[in-house]
Amino acid sequence: MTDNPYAITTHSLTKRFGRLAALDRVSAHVPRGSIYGFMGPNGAGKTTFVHCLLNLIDPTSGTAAVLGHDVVRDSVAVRRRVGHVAALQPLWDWMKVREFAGFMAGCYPRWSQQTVSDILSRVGINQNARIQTLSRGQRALVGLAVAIGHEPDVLLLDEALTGLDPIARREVLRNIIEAMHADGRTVLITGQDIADMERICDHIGFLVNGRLILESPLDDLKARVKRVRVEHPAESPPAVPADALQVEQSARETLFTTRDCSPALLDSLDGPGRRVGIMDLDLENIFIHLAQPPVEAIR
Amino acid sequence: MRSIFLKELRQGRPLLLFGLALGLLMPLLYVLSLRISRPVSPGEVDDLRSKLAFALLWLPPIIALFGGAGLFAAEADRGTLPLLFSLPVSRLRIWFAKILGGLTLTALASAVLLVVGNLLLPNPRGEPSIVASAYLPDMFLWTLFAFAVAAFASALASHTIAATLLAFLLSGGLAAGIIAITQLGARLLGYDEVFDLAIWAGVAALPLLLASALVISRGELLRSARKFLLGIPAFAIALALIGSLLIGAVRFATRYQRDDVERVSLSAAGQAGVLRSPITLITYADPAPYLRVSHSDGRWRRTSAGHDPDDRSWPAYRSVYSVLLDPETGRELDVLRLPGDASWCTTAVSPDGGRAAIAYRPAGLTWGRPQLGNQPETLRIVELDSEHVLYQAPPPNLTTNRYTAIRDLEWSPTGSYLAYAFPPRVGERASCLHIVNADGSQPRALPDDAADWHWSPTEDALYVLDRDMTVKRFRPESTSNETIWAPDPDDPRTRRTLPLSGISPDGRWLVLTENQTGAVETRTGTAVALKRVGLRAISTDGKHAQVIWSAEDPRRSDAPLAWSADGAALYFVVWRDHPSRARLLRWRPGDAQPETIIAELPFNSVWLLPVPDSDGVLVWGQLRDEWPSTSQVHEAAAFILDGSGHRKALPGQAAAPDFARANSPRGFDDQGRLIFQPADHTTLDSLDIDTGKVRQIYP
Repeated sequence: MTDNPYAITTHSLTKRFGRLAALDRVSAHVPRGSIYGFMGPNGAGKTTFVHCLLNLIDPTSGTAAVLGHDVVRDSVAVRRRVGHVAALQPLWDWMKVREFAGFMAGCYPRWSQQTVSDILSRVGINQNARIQTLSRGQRALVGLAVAIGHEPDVLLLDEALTGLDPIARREVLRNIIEAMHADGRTVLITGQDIADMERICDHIGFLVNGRLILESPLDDLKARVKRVRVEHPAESPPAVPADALQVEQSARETLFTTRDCSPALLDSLDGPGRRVGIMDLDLENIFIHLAQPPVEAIR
Repeated sequence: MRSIFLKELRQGRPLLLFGLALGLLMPLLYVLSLRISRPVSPGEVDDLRSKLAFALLWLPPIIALFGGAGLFAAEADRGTLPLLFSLPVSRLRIWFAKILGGLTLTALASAVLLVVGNLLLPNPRGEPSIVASAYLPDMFLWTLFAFAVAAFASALASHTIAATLLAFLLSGGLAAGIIAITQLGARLLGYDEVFDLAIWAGVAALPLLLASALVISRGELLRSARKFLLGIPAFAIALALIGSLLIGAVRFATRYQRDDVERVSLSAAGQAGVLRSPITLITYADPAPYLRVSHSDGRWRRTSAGHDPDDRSWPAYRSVYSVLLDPETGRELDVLRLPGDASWCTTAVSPDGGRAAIAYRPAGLTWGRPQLGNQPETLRIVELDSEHVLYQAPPPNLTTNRYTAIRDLEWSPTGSYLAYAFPPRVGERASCLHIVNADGSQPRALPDDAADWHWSPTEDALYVLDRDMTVKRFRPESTSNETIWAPDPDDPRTRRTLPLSGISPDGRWLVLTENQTGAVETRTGTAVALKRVGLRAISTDGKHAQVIWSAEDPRRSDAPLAWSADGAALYFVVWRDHPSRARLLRWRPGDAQPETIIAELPFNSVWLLPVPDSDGVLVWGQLRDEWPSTSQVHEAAAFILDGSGHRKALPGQAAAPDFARANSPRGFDDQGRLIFQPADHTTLDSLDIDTGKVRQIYP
C-alpha cells in the first residue's frame, strides 16, 4: 500500500443522475504529499467527485481508492484518514464550538485537541461561543479546524476557502495547508480561486462537464500549455493541430492554444514566410482556455 | 456511536418540552370543558375526567411521531447530513445511534407526559390513569409503531415538515391496514381476534425500522427518488415475510382440533341448572406441565404444575377454547380461542338458543398473557345460526382498567335483553349493572351498584340487590326503580352483602342469603366462610318478607338451594355440627317454617338440580376428602326427590353407587337429559333419566 505513489486514484469513475453524467469516466491520480487543485467551472462535477471519494454517494461505475482503500467497500477506513471541509457546510448551530469539537473527537480514534485549539485561537474564535453566533467565515474556519483534529493523511477542501476574508484565507493557506504539505500529507482543493490555486498547488486537474480533461504538475502544465501565434502569408495558413484550443484565424495570422507545446509542433508550424511566436499563459488563462470551449473543440 | 447518541439526546431536548406541554393539555382541556359545557351531574364530570385521563395514555405515540420524524429529515433540512455521513462511522451505526437516541427521548418525553398528566388529572377515583397498567404494553407497542413509521418517513423525506406529514399519513394508513389484516386473519383462521392489534403494530414496526435502515445505509444522499424506490418495496417485502411467518406460526399454534381436547367443562354460566341448547363448553388441550399461572398476593406467579389428581389446581393449558356446542348433533357452532386461563370467560346462550353472549379477553398472539390480566373485557353477541356477530366491543365505560372484568351475563327470559356487570374496582362484589338490547344496541347503565340480580320470568322487571342489601325492581326500558325490601339499619344480620340466591320460577319470590352476624371466618387459604348464614324469602310485590332459615351454625356460605321447576318449593341443604352431616329441607311459600325432608345426608358435597317439568329435584351427594385433597370420593348417591318427598333412583347403570361416585352432575338440558361429567373432566355425557341411556356428547 505504501508503494503506491498516489494518495487518491480513480479509474473511469462515473456518476450519473438520471441522464446527466456528473462524472464521466474520470481517471485521476493525486500524488501522495501533493497539494492538488481540482479545478473546473460551476457544475463540472467537483463536489460529486469529492462525495464519491467519501462514499456519500455511490459511483455508477468505475472505482476510486484513497490511500489504497476502496471508497465503496472500505468507506469507514477512508473517512477515518480523510479530513473533509465543504463550502459553507452547515454545522449544528445549537452547539458551542467546544461541544462541536468534542463531538467530532468522539467520532475518531485519535484526536489532537491541541491542534484544533491552536487554530481556533490563531483565528480568534472563542470556543465557548455558540456556532449560531459566528459569522459565515468563522463557521468555515471552525469546520476546517475540526476537520484536521484527527490529523488526517488526506484533506479534502471542497470550495472550502469560499467566504473567508483575506486574512483568514492566508491563515488557512499558510498555516494549515502548507503545514500539512510539509508533513507529507495530501491536500485536494476544489475551487475556482485560481490565484490561490496557483500560489499553493503543485498539481492541477481540470474537470469540465464531468470529464477530466487535463491532469498535470503545475509547472509541467505551465511549460506545456502555451498560446501560439503564427504569422503567415495569406495563401499558406498553417495546419492547426486537432487538439488546439481557442483558435482564432485571420488572413495573415493564426492564434491558438496548445496543451503540448513541443518542438515537433513548432517545427510543423514553421515554414516559408511564417513567424511563430509562443506566449506563456498564467493558470487563470490556462483555466479559461481549457474550460471555455466545448469539449468537442478540445479534441 | 456514543457521541452521536449523546448528540441526539441533546438535540432532541425540545421533545421533552413537547411532552410537558401535552401533559398539561389534558388537564387544561378538562378545566376548559368544565367552564364551557358546565356538566350538570357529578357523573358527567367523572366521565369527562375519566376519558381525558385515559386519553393521556394514548399521547405517547404522538410524541413518537414527532420524535421519529426529525431523526434524519431534520439533518437533511439543516444540511448537516453530509457532515454526519462523512464521519468515520458506518451509516448503519449512525442509524442505530440515532434510533436509540430518538427512542430514549421518546421514552423520556412520554414519561414526562404521563407523570405530569397523571399528577394533575387523576381519574375519578383519585388514581393516576397509569394504574390501568394493562394498557401499558399496548401503549408501548403503538408508540414503537409510531416511532418506526416516523423514522421510516424521516429516512425518505428531505424536510422535517414533509417527514412529519408523511409519518402521520403513513401511521394512519398502516393502522387501518393492520385492522384490515386482523379482520382478514380472523376470517382466514376462523377465530375472532386471533390477532392482537397492538402486537401487529409492534410487528409492523420491525420491517419499518429495517426499511429505514436500508434507506439510510444504501440510499443516495441527495436523491429522494431512489430512497422511495428502495424503502417502500423493502418495507413491503419485510412486512410480507414477517407477516407470513407470523400468520403461519399463529395458525399452527391456534388450530383447534377436537381430538386434542384433554379436558372439557361446562362454562360457568352453563352450570346454573337447566342448560339451554346449545350448551357452552370450555375445552382444554396441550397442557403446559411446567407452567401454572396463579394469582396470589396481588401478583401473577408462574410455577410448575403436573397432573397430580390431588392437586386442586389444574395445570395451565396452551390451547383453551370456548365452544358453543349443539348437543344433538355434536356440531361446534362457534369456537373462540381464549387466553391461557379460561376461568373468566363467561358465556350465556339466549333462551331460544339463537344467540350467545360471550364475555372474554381476546387471546391475540400472546396467549396466556396472565400478567396483563385475562379478565373478560370484550363483549360479543353472536347469532348462532348465521354465525353473524351482532356486537363485539368492550362495553362503554369499561375503559380505565381492564382488570375490571365483565361478568354475570344473563339473558332476559325471552332473550330481548342481556344484563351484565363489571365491578368498579378489582375484587369488589358490587358492580355497575348494564343492560343491552339483544342486538348489542343501546347499552345503558343502572344507577346503583348491584351485588346481584335476577330477571323476572315475564321479563318486565329486573330485581337487583344493591350494595346496601336493598332489593330494588328496575324496568328494562327505564333506569328508575322502586324498592321492594330494605334491611333494618339496626339489624346486625345484614352486615354483609351476599348474593340473591334465586328467584322462583313463577317470579313471585326472591330468596336472599344473608349473613346474620357479619362475622367472617377464614377457613382455608383465600376461601372464606361466613358464620351464621341464613335465608330470607321476599315476595316480589314487596308485601312479604320472611326469614325461612335462621341458621345456628352452618358451615358453608355456598349451601346449595334449588327451586323446583314448578316453583312450588324451595329445597336447600344445611350442615350442622359436622361437615359431613347435611340436612335437606324444603320450604313452600306461605309456610312459616321449612320442613326437613331428609334428616341426614352423609355427604359434604351436595348438588341440588331442579328436574324439568316436575316438582322434584335431583339430589347428588358425595363424601370427599377434606380440602385440599378433594379428589377422593368415598361415598356417593344420586336420586330424584319428588314433591311428596319420595326418592326415585336413577335408571340403568346410573343407579349404581359407583356412578354417583365417579361423576358429577352439571344440569339438565332443554330436552330433560341430565348432563354429567366424570371426575377427570375428559368428557361430557348425558343421561336420559327415563330410559337410563348414557351418551357421550363431547368430544
